[in-house]
Amino acid sequence: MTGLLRWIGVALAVGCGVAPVAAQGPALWAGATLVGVRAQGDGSLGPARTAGTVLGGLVTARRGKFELEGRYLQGVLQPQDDASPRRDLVQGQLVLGFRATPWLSAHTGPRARSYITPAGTERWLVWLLGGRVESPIVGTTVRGHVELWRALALSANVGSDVGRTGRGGDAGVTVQPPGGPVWFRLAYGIDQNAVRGAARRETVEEFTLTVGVRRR
Amino acid sequence: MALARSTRFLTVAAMALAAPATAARAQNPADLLERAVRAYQDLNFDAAAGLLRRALMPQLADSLDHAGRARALTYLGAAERFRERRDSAMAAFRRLVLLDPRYRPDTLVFPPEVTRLFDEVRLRTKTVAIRVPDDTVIPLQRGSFAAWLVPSSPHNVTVGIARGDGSPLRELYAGPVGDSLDVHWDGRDSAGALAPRGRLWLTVESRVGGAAMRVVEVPLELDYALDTVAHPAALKAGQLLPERASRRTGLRSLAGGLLIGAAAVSLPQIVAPGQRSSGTRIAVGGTLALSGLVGYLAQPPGRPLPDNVAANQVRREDWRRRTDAVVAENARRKAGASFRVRAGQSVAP
Repeated sequence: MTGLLRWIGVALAVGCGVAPVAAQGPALWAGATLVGVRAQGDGSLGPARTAGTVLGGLVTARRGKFELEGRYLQGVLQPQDDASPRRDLVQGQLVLGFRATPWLSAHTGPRARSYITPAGTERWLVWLLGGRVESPIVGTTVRGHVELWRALALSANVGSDVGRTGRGGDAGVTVQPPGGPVWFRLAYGIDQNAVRGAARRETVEEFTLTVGVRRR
Repeated sequence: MALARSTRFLTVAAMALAAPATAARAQNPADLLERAVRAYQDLNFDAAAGLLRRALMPQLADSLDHAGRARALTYLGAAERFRERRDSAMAAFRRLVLLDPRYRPDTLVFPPEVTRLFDEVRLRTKTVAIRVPDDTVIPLQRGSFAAWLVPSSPHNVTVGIARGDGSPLRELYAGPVGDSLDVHWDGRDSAGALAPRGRLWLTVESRVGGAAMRVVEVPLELDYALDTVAHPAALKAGQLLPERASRRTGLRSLAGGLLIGAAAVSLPQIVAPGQRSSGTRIAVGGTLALSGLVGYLAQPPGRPLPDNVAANQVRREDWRRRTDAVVAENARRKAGASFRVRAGQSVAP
């Protein structure tokens, strides 16, 4: 984790030095997401594989170099084998980002995820810190991004606090046709959170399709 | 014997103590002026002229006030007139006119031959007295600093404001001045911009036949409390996107698409090594790589980049909007602002 933080710090410092961000007016993005979720849980009771398509939304507000983004997902994950239970998924995230340059930003904030099963509710809360690189691919119409994060803190009601780790990443492509407010995004994300003391590890993959509007 | 010696000592001491006081009184210009006036009234013009010249010597004249100097010069001119020294009388009257162009000898005190000679000198000597408020605060909008000019006799003048180094800042008036003239200055230079803070000069040039005859200046100290907002910095080249593709444009698109696509495909190995991952990442990675390829092919060198042109236009309009807002805000602040002018004594360099 120290290595990732150091990398993010150095990259931000270099970015700030070589390419100051132009002052930008406020802007707002909002979108609806359709997410294909595939969750694999490994624990003392054996693997649990669930998957499903859930709905959600996101709102991002940007002012100057700062941006605040909130995401929400909710849906049902169906078992992918005979041993796994059906789980309801509820996930929320609120991160504050700092754009050091037009192509490099850092963000931090909490992400909460709950699995609701007949046996009870399992809650995972991660305080993440990450960096994001964004690059235009076709003019400003098509942009790509890749993002990595590590968990600064993690808590889960899985019976133990020992050996908590978490990390994740996301990459995707955003298309914003010129002259219009509508934008589309296709992204793939994966994160893995673990509590070694409870022999629990949750890996979640998300394949996200977002349709949104932007307002300046 | 001893008593006689003591008496002699005390007498000498008293004389020694009294002598400087007498000498000081004799050198007092006000006292000299009073003695000269008495001598003039006794028709002893030679003595009057001598006393007045002593009173008007530079080191003594400074201790005379303005009215005292004018009075001394008037009596000196009159005394010289009666001593049949016309040139000396005219020189004294010329000094008087330059000292105070508005001054006129009292016709009840001085006979017509004196006042006529004075008027003759006054008509030949072209200068202007400048009257300005010592310290005044003026609204920046619709306000003006006023100066009242009184000439010794009608003539042409050029009135202006000069910078501290003497270079001209604004011409306020050029033309004839008769009995008096009011000139106004709105605190701006000839281009309409606010004059710089600090030392300025109000200059009045008396002209005869197109040639400058005399210049009178008044030092002005200009200040204004005006807290304006700085204009947004101009857009730099680095803040705008290239509007035509270069060879690097396509390569950058290709490299960006391929690298981010590769990152998408590699994410499971980075985040969750050993975990079996889905094939959806291949779809996203492939889309990114394909976008990069499209970007490379669609942007040959020299081709206009409409997206970038539109993005730059948005940035320029945003910059213009912010600039207009600053201009409007500054205009609002200026509307309520005022400037302060403190004036010194006029000088004739």
